[in-house]
Amino acid sequence: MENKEDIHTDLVIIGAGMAGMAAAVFAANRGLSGVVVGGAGAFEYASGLLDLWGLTSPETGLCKDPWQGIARIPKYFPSHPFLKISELDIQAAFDELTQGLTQSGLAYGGQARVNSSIMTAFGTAKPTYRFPLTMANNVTALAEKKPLLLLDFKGLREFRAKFVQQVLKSSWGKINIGTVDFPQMSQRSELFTPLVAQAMEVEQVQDKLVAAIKPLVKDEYFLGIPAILGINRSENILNRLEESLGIKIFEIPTSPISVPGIRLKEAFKKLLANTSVTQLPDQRVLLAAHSPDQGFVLETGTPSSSRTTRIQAKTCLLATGRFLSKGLVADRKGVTEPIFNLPVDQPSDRKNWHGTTYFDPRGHAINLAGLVTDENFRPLGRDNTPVHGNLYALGSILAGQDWMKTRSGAGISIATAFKTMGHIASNQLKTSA
Amino acid sequence: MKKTKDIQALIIGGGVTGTGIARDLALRGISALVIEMGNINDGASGRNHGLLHSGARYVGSDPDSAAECAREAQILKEIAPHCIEDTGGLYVAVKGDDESYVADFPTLCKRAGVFCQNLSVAEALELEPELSKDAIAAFKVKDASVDPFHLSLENMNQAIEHGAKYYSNCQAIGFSLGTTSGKKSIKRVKVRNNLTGDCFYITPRVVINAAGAWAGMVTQFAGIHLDMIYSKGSLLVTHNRLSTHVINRLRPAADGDILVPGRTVSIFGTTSVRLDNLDAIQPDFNEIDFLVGQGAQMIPGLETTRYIRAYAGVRPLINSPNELTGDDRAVSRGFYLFDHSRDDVENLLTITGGKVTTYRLMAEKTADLAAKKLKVTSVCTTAQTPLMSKAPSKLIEAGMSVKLWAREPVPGDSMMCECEMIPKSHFKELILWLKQNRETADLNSLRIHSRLGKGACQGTFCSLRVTGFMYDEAYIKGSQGLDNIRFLLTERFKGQKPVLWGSQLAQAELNEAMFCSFYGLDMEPMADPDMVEDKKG
Repeated sequence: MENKEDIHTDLVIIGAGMAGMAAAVFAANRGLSGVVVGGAGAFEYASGLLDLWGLTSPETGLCKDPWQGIARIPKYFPSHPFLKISELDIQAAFDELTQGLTQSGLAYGGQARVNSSIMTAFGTAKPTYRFPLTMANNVTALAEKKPLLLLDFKGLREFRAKFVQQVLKSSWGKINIGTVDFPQMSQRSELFTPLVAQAMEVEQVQDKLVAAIKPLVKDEYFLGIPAILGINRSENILNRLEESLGIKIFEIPTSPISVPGIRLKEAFKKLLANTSVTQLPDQRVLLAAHSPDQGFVLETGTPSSSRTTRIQAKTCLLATGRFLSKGLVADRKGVTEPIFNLPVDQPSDRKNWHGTTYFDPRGHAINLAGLVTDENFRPLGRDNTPVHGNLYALGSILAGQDWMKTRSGAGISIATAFKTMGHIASNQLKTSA
Repeated sequence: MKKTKDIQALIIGGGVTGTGIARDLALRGISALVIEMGNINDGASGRNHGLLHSGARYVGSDPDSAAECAREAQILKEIAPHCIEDTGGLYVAVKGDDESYVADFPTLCKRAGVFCQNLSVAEALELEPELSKDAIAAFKVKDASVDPFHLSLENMNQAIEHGAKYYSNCQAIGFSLGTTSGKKSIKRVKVRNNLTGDCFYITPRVVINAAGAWAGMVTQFAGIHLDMIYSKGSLLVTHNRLSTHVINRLRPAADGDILVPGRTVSIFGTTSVRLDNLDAIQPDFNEIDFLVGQGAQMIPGLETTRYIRAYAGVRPLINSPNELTGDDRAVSRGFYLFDHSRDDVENLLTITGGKVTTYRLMAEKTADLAAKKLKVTSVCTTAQTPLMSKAPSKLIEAGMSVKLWAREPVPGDSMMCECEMIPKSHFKELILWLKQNRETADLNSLRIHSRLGKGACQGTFCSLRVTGFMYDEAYIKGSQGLDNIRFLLTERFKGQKPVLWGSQLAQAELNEAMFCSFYGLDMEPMADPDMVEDKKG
């Protein structure tokens, strides 16, 4: 027998990645009631860094001042979503979100108006706007290049200290490296960062790790380790280790599945608890429709059960991401948007999707494909007017932006969520007034 | 590298024919050097179906060639069973196909001495459930699947074990001709190392041109014109294996009619497109779409399956060889062996045409002629000598790594490549072998000699793990690892581009997010990394 649940709400957010969750937080902060549906797999692929903009121009490369890069957007990305949002709003969006995350125990830092350089697991420097405070010393170390000890764990394939050391050594006076057996896991031939981070939540494990690390620390100024310092209390764990070892410690972000990404997912969950916005985890949209009298009607379900949920909402936000999260679907003939079948702006022919060189700094045309919207991020139909007055699209599904090339993934998501939610909140005020 | 190399035979081209000739000559005790402008099987030898023909495809058009295929396939199954998967093959006609061809097929097979057995459509569907319900006729044949990379690597490895030499990335760029007692011959070959740009000379007694589609450019150095035709064939690689048998469309040879299983994947093709030159040998998008449409008539799943790569090779065909040389030089209609003494160059041979299935025979005929010119009397033993070297080339075989791993687990081992299931210990063995036997042990040479980067992720995760491992073991240093990864991803991208839709496009997105957005391999380092941070900013 099919088991149906009915939900009536103001707002339904489809997608539980950065854009969807940022929108949920902004909605809760504005007292709007709603639900978020969608798998939360996206955060496992997130670096945990909150990028705003990292490219001056395709010719000149990465930049320190994101605003300088954003000022050049009209020249390189004439239909970019950022052109619909003021600088003040973009900054306010980041501030509101990082404040929320900090309140829920995941503190973020960064310089007032400029990017910081973060050392990655490849030893490369990634520009980012806001970073978890467990990486604060990462930024300082990369800037000061004082004597550094890099440690990895036996069996951890995604992070090798020697890799980072070799890449950085020509520009760095002294980098020592070492490998430790992670406590209670020496029997395992393979370690995964989420598994290690889970174990780190236990104080006994932390103490054993300190004991294993202690003999390796000599006269270095910094200690760098992969990002594994717990899931929920990473800053506390970092402080505890720093006190015991007497050295400044920092985390280095690694490849997916990424612990700082999982921390974001958990922090959002905490942040939304007991608010007017409810998260329905792992729900996928099976059917979606709109009618003038009922508004948006969605049927959602989980892949593992026949139980479905019917959601009826006045306003709908589409934050389903791009190809990896199936917000956009491509076949040989073209790109479609699978939930509402919205028109997708895209290159005319599949042969124009990608350029000839993989690492071409100008990027690939397919990455600019997506939904075209009005000034308030309402997707346009084939007649160039909003498909519905209350349907919004936000995050990486939007056309005209290449978040990967421009290092602006979190920025696009957070800023468009902010603008959208501002518009919805003011509309609600108008209707209730 | 020494400036001059004195050897008996210089072989130009490191495809299956060139390496096969090297093996043949080495087993006869003749010193041979293979120069290859890129890497082993970069040309058509690595860009085909990997089909060991039963001969059935040629019974209508070329019965001699069909019989030759049947004989050679049997020899290869005996000497190189580790390079071959004896899948068996099916010939299947669907509604709308020429029924008179179907009716004649068994007779033609019989006449050419090629095995074929009539199956009912129900029997065929039971053997291969992916077949179209529109099938109208089916026959079983002795097709098999062969790994041409494994074959060529084993050829070369065994040749090296018997004294031959191999230079990769080395290209012949000119001949110096001279006259001795009234006869003209090649005295010296100028060779360029394509990686360093350095040039050096080789003084061979015989030059064997096994350059495939590039054969005409080589003969040009001796002032000899070969009228080559460039026929491009494009193929697709599926994510999963779609069939147990080789499946052929039962119709006169046409586009998109052969599906060959290759261990964990299937390879589907091909097309035939005339090219004017060899500047860009890549599948066109319309060829890919056409292939998928043709294939789906026979195997509907080809419409919806995930493809991980597409590639194209060029068949080196000769335009009317009879006219060219004045008499019939063709050893068989399947391939051409030219003794250029007819063109007044005494010590140059060209071998071209043919197919992977008959490479051994082509090598034998070529080596016979070379031996005669060198006045060496030892005979060919390649049909009896097992093609098994001591090199760890078994890792090239898909699915083999995990089998070996399960059989002989190494304590503390861990999986570096999850798509193809290759553990650390296997990479270590391969790196040590490469260090001893080859000049370089980098990510790309590991790719050539194993399944690295060839699975669904196309290098996303294995590249960084193997690079980390190579740093740990001090095989690479400085920022070489980043260059290695850049090179591998750039190379892998070329073959993915035409099939980037569906899941493979999603994979490409993850790849770009990681390597560009996160690791920044697409950009130079930040101009001004000298920053002071503000913790609570």
